[in-house]
Amino acid sequence: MKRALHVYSPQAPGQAHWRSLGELHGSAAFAGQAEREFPEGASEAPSGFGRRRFISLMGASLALGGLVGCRRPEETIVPYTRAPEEVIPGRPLYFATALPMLGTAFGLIVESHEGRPTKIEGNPRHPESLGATSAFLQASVLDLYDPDRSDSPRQGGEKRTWDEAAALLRRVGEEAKSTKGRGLAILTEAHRSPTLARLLGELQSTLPEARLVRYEPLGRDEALEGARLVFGRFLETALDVAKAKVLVTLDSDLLVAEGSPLKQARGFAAGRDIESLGAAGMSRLYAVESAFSITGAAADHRLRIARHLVPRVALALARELARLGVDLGELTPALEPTAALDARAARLVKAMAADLASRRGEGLVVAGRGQPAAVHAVVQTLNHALGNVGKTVRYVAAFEAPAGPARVVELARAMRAGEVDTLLILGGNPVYDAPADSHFAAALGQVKRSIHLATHVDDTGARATWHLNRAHALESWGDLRAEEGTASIVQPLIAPIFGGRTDCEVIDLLLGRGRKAHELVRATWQSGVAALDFDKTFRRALHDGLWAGSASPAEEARPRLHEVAAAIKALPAPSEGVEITFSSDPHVLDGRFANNGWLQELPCPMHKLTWGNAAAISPAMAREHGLADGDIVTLAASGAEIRIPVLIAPGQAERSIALTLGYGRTHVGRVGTGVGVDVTPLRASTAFNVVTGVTLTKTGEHVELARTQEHFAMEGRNLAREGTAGEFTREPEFAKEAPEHPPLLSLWKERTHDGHAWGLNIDLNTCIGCNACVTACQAENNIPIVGAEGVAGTREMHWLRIDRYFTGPAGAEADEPASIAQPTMCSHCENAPCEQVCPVGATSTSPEGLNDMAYNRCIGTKYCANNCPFKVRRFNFLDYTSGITEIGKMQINPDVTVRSRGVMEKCTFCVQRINHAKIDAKKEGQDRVKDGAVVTACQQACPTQAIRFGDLNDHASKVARRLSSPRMYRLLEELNIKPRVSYLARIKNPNPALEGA
Amino acid sequence: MVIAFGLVPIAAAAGGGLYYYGGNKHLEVGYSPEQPVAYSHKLHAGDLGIDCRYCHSNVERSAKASVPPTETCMSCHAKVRTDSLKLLPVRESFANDRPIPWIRVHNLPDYAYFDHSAHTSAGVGCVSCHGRVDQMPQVKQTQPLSMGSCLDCHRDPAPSLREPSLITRMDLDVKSSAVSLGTGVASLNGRTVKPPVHCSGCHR
Repeated sequence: MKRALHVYSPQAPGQAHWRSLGELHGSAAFAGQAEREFPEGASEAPSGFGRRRFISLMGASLALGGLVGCRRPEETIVPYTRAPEEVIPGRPLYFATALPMLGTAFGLIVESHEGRPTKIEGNPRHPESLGATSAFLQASVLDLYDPDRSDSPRQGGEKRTWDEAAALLRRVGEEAKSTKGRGLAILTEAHRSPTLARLLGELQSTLPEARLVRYEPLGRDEALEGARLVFGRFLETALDVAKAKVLVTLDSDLLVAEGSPLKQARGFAAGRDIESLGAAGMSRLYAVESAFSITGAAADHRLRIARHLVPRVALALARELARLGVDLGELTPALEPTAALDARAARLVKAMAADLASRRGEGLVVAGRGQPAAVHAVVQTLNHALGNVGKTVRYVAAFEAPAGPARVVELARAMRAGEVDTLLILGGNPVYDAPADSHFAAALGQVKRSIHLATHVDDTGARATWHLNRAHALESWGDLRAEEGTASIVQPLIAPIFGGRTDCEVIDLLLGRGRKAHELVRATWQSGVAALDFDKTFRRALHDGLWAGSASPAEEARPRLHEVAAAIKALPAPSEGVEITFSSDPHVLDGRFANNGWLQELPCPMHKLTWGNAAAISPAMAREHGLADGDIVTLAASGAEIRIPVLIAPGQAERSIALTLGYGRTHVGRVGTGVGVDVTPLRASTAFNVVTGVTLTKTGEHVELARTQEHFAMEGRNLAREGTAGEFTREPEFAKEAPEHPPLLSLWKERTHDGHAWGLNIDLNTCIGCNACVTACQAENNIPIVGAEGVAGTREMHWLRIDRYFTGPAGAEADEPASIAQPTMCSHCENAPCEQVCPVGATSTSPEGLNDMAYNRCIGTKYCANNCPFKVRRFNFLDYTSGITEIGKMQINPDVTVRSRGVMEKCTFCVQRINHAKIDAKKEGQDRVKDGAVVTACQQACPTQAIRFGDLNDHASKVARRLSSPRMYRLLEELNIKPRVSYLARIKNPNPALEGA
Repeated sequence: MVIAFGLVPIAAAAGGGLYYYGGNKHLEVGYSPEQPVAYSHKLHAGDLGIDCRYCHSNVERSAKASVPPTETCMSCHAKVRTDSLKLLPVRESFANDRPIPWIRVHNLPDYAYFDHSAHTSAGVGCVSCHGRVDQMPQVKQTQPLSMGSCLDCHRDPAPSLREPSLITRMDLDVKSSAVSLGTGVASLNGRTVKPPVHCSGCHR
């Protein structure tokens, strides 16, 4: 029986929810897709190029069982010869460490099974993590076991030993001494390691003429330069988002990509807690941005405007604040209007300013890393003038002075001019990501001796004369300082699998020594501490994951207004043409995760694109050029051009094209090769974050983008419910409104659950749709990847998906939408429709209300998936797991079955964690598991604590208390399925002054 | 022709199938592989009376009872029978830091997540699943360890329960104060033992 597509029922009068433009416009392709659970051909093997690629993806190390006769194969048990202390086979151990990312450091707790790190969690003690993680952090463990990592140093592609490499480094150091370092250049990433800083400092003092250059494709240079402009020195800005009642983000994806995102997302969630704060105490977020971001989706008001026009908004905001009596001193004369904003923008700026001015000391203005230093300076001036400093904003000393892209251009010039004999590159991939005007690859060819330290032989390593294999952060000793200064020791979870070494060890070799990283790190922290005390404090720091009290003190800073005024004057005039913006990629960040299958296949939060990048353009621009999703265009700017498919992005600013970095690398590995388009040819040091004067030409070619957007659509029912603070005050139970339905009578005997009754609740008010839970679920539950072709065929295996709905005025074009994210997993219905159709009883409800799935009983009829109203069941169309390489198998969670071809699978509520908690409780003589003893993987990863899991029969449990919230609702209750997953409706807090805007 | 090529093979297959699958043969009852070290449980656990947990030290703490590290063997055999040829592989293992590859006897499918500690804490004795190991010079499997054999006990736990302090006693007639409280529930010393019989109790 074919189902007709329902026309969706508007949630509020005049509002519509849609998942894609195809759905909004009722395209035939969408209708066809929505009718089928799986699209045509989903069970066919990939063909042609895709098939070959699929096989190489899977590692092609298929170990065939063959004929083993009737007996089970003989298995051996290999015990230790000498058992390590603490290790109990079958019970994981947990170690604290830290990972650097996005210019800060995240404290982590890593789970280790008999010496194999398998899962990363946040360290609740660490101020930057607070127990949460991001998708990138979750996926880092997969990088550790990447079979394409380099396993030895190489000279011109020939394998060399580390002894030979060490001899080379010592020789380089020795030779450099005679010239005081002239001719030696060292290029580093924007690291945050005190030990590396100490060693580089030592190197600089022994070799004063050596060049030390730092380069980061996504650095914080502009923010630090801005701080120097306004305060006269480099300061980091640490935000306390929880205290802010009015937030204004200027081109800043505050909740996932800027500053210290996990901490900020947690703070944002705290400020949105309408039940304890009340409608009046809830924070209000204004987002000004070009591309639709997670922060923009969470915002109460969003202004889409090209990135190069954002400075105008910042100035208009300052002007408006000055008009409202905020004392900006010398700055005021510099704020003369240079270009008028359109009416909508002007109205929003007025409202923002009024809000900020009326809540002094409770506001927060933030600028993104893509904005010029002058905007950062203005923003800090505003925070100062509004009295936010010391409350929502704190300044701490910067770890390092910034070095913009111009430095690497200068280095490349010196390399071409023959001023550099030896270049040592510590990590990073400058051949790929250095600004186009540096022509780094050509310059590298001019250097006699180039040495590149990296985990892979990447684009840079393939061109350098020497490649040195670097240890992964999870197999190194090291140290890191977080954004606000808290120091952590990085401890190895495993000996370097491929024998790599760390940056510090390489520099120590260059200095003529050769100490191990452990010794180097201890030496850094030992200074000034008595040896006996030191061992104790060091062990304490290792255990806790941080040095207590190591956060940097807040710095007093006074703005120098005349400097800021001068910087404003120097801002370039806005241009009329089309711009391109460069941002971090939600899959591969800056390219470092290009060989990570989990991240490649993770649907990006806003566009649900996997396996590649695309140029995001606004629907209006698509109409103007006659473009459809996947049409390839040529983008030309600053003398270079690239060919890239377009993606029509509702909410994208006009005359602005959003590009993400990190794709199209030439030397990646089996996962990332040939995926995506390299956009760096358009990125010059002078137009590093935004380039204007772009021309876009349609080529007439087309590719299919692997998106999950229109899969598993919910056909327009009112699923993701939201209202405003005003509506909530008037009618707190607005979300409970259910469609009319006949009396709910069950055909089956109603079950009672007197033991535990497991349930999960998701607060849509704090969920930002950041994908951390999806990757955490993938890591915990051994979920395979299926490749781009698999995703295009809707075969993706994620047990947990995040539905993203766009909302906007019904009938209008999709240019100005809002957005809401809704994580969806198996609802564990008490009257589960899937169970009723399984012919073999492979899925059934447990006494505790779990919808159990017995893989070994499943025969693959897929009836259950057809009958699931949430479309959360996933079928193994192909054998995705037996080809996992030996090294890749080390990541597998031993507590979860690895599924094979032909079985259905789905969310189990992390039943392995439930069972462990129950067994532990029994061993302690308790009959029931205490609240909080079971934490699902998605819940643990969530930065905003939107997910709660627990026993619904325990009325004091956190999840049971959420069920009593007026915002609580369940999906499709009218079907009498009694889902155990419930939601809390989202409450937005729009400014009443902007009613109708 | 019909008989030779039709009925005979079918009858043979049916008969063979019944013989093989009807009994416990396919479940490996009686499986007793030769181990790399001729270790005798009869001597150690039976005659010498060493407690099971001296070697299988994690059985009460972990899902895995764990085969002991060579170090455990050497804790005695560094002084006892130091020149025995039978112990040569053990001494070599210890000297060269090469583990002894023991052959697994009791092998559950990978999708069944048996937890030793849950069973020992409930009061299930070793002998229930492993038989009279104290009488085995070479360990052999005595129970089918099929899903049926698990469920038999999970549906009626009382007869297999004993005082948790006596779980390693090998005699089967250890006195137990366990009482059956109806289908699938028992009580031992005031504690309710209600083993799971739903899928995710063992499969995840």
